[in-house]
Amino acid sequence: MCFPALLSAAIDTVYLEGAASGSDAIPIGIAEFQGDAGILSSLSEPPAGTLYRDLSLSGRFIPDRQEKYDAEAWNSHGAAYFIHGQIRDAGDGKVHLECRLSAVQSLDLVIGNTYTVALKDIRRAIHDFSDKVIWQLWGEQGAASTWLSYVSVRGGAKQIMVSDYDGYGAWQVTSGNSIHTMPSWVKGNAQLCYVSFAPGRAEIIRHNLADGKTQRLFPGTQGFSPSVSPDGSQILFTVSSGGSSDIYKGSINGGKPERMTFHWAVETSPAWSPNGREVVYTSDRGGSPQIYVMDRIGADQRRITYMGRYNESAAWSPEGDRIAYVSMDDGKFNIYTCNLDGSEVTQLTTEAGNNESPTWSPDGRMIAFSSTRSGSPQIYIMRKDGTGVTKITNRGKNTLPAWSGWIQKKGENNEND
Amino acid sequence: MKMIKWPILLTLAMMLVACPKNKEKDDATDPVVAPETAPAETNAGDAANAGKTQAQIEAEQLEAQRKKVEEMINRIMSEDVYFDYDKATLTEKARELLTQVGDILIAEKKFRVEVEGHTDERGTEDYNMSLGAKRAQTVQKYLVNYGVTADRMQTMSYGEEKPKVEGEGEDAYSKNRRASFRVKVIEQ
Repeated sequence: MCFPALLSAAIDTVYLEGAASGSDAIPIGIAEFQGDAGILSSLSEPPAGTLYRDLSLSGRFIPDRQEKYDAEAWNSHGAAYFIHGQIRDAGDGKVHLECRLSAVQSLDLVIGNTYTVALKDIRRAIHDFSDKVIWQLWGEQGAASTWLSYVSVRGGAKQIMVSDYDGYGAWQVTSGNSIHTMPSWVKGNAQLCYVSFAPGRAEIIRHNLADGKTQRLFPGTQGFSPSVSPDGSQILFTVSSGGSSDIYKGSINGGKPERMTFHWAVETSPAWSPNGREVVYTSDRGGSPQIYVMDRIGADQRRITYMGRYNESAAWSPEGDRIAYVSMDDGKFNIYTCNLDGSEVTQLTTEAGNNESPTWSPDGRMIAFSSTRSGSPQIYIMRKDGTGVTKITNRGKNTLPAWSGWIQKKGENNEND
Repeated sequence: MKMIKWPILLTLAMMLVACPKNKEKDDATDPVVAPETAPAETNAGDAANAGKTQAQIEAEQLEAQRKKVEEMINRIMSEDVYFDYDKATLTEKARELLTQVGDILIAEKKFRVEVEGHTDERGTEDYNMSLGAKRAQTVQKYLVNYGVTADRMQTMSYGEEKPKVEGEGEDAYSKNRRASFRVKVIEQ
């Protein structure tokens, strides 16, 4: 039985500015929240800071943060709207969090929400309002309420962690003195699949986040590199045997997996297309690892990458049009994106150190990855064009991030004003 | 009352009948096989062995022997570079040392081995899982060709997940590109 331990995270926001590139990003004002000074100073960060990060990293806004309503600043910034709010004690360990989106000129209210939540749920409520602003002004679902899973070295073991996408609220999912690695979310975010060495050899495990119950999906089969299908019903993974590695497909409920690739080379690192019809993967049949695509039954295999000698770890954008992957050049890894025909290769990271394991936010606007640029492997998030790089872990060694899907929102006491 | 007593009697009966062969072992996956060691060893440790059953003593001896063989093999394998960067082919020195390992395994017939393949930290975790597997399989193939029967060996990969030496640089990397062995008692 594993009890999640809530760990705090002080976020070391390192902005590689860049405001959102793309001329369609909307300028917006944010005023510091007012209200109960005691409560405000006890928060992990001011609400305006959380809103700023959510909106800026989404690539859809260029926020301008002010101490209070500042028509002059926001007019010259070109902002037509601004966000403001206040926080009041509601008694019983709860607060009323009022969030408002209003017009700069007329001060007319556009949308407003009052959240009555426990102190520990304030961040969740703020993220919810960020998503509401994105919905109101863009008509799109934002990813401010989503999560990341990643691997953290703890003593001689490796454990699976889950946190908010911005790194706050990190908690440890797995326990026991074993190596747990390579997490992959199941649709609905109530379960994770990952690799565990606890059975004696690497095996694919499915883990229930709510009660910690686990299931060995293919007992006796040595598997790694799991990737759960977008509809949550199937899982791809790699099996190595006889000097070769191949991709297998099984049911999320376990049972007998079926083999998908039969080449003598190493086929590994599978990832699904957003519509579940195709699979991007790595093959070294050409002499070194390159990115390939095949359909969901293993047919129609075609090579995607032709630039660079070592291309691996592909992840398919939820918008369907690009893949992110890593390319090793002169011993160093960097993250690239390209089209599905290999064209328009864009290098996203250029820092020193190794930048690996790209994973997309479910709205296709952000990428999380691991980087050793600070001296140890840590998790970072950035916009899909490589701007806005933000460090979200800062202790120990953290790798292999996996971005969750959309979060099902539980009933929160929020009334539209 | 009758229902409670019956299972207890049955269990006792089974224990009395089965006792000599049915001992618990620490390593839960391997049932004990009656060892071939000479009784002389048992007599020598009489004071220490007071209170233990014959089966317990034999099990401890087998475990001590298993551990000795495992240490012997891993000591041989702990020296030297076994694999070049990004390769699963054995170096000349590796093959030399593996013949010593093969000799031990051929002589100690009651043991089987699990060969673990490891890599250094360069490259992705994923690709290194495959490389580790290839290295373990290469070692197994070599030992099979040398004369160790295939069913006495299993392979597994740790990729870069369990380095022997932390840190960067060729010194650390070369120590991590290795195969290591776990020796287990053969089940019957």
